[in-house]
Amino acid sequence: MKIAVILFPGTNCELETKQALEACGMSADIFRWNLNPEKLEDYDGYVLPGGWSYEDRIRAGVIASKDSIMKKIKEEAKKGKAVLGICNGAQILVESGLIPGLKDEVEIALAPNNKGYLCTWVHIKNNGKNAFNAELKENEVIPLPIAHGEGRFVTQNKNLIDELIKKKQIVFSYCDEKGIIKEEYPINPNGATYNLAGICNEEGNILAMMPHPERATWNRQLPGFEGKSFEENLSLAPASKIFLSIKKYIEENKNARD
Amino acid sequence: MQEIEMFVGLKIPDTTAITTFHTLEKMGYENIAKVSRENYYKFEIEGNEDDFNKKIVKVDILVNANKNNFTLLNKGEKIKDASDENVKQINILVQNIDDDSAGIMYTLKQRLGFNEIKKMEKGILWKIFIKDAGNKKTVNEAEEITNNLLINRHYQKYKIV
Repeated sequence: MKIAVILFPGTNCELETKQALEACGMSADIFRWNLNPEKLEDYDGYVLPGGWSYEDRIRAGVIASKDSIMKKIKEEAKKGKAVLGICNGAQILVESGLIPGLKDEVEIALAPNNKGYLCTWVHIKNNGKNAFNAELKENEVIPLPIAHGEGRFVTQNKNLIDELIKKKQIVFSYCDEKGIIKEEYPINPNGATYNLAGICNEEGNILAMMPHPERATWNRQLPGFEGKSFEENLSLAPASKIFLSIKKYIEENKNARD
Repeated sequence: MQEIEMFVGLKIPDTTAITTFHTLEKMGYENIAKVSRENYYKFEIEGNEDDFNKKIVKVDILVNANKNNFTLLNKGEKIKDASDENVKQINILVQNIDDDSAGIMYTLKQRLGFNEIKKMEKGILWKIFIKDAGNKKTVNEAEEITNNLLINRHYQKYKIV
């Protein structure tokens, strides 16, 4: 099982993303944007990691979204392969129209945060069933860090949020540590509409999420790790279940195809 | 109330404008001659325009003399048009739908004493130079480029100026 971690100029989370995928039982290659996109066919899934692709020129994610590699990822996603965009990767998926993907156009934005650049820990709650949360319990709350200046999901389409709810495309919502969803800061850190932290496409195989699961894959990465045992700190943290869910999804899909 | 518009460009190469130009080429817009970009500020002030203009360009927050150049326009004055018989210049002002100038205005008023500012706006002025194919067609093409690349309509707006 092989995952391509896509590297654009300015991506900076590729190594920890590769390590997180490997810790969860997948092999991962860092795939540069200027390689032959046809080679992407050899992979079972794709992760667009965080960073500042093309230095966030014009606005975060938009230049990378026009790159020819994204056309190929779009084609592979149509076959049902898993595509995860984390932070800047989420911005690229939104700007490419893959998320939420209900129409062939950009339907939503990741606008500048209400309170500027944020680098802090948040909690998110899991909803629905898709390629990214099969290993999470219904409504499970997980701690994750965020680090972004443009992460506020907003839309001018008045019916979009209702459609996302109806089609179970809201995968992660910002909440407090008990799972209670409140609109106020810092529970909803960036002012996102409907506390949106992660949205998938209708088919459930593409996810754009602003928090960083690769920075919360092991317990030693979580706040309060000092008080835990060495063994506990070496073990996987709740956010790893996002990567484990991708593995499960790929295995099940492969079995179904075979 | 006086209205002053300020356009702040770069003396050094503008990598964002260059990347935008190359991205447009990749997107199939082959008749773009050049793209440039300036930060845009609009002030409504109570007081003397000349005094304000002299002071505002010396504030490092908006203009760094080592790397920026600037133009000030008083009400009714127009942006310089570099169009010629072959190339048409289209100016597009992109702004956020939600007012995002409060932070700068606070700094200017509270920290730097610009109490004459009563209102301000900010944005990015894009100048797209299109190899001319008739006036209407170039405007349409500039609007298409704006919608496809320069703005995300879910949080930004634009106007041709």
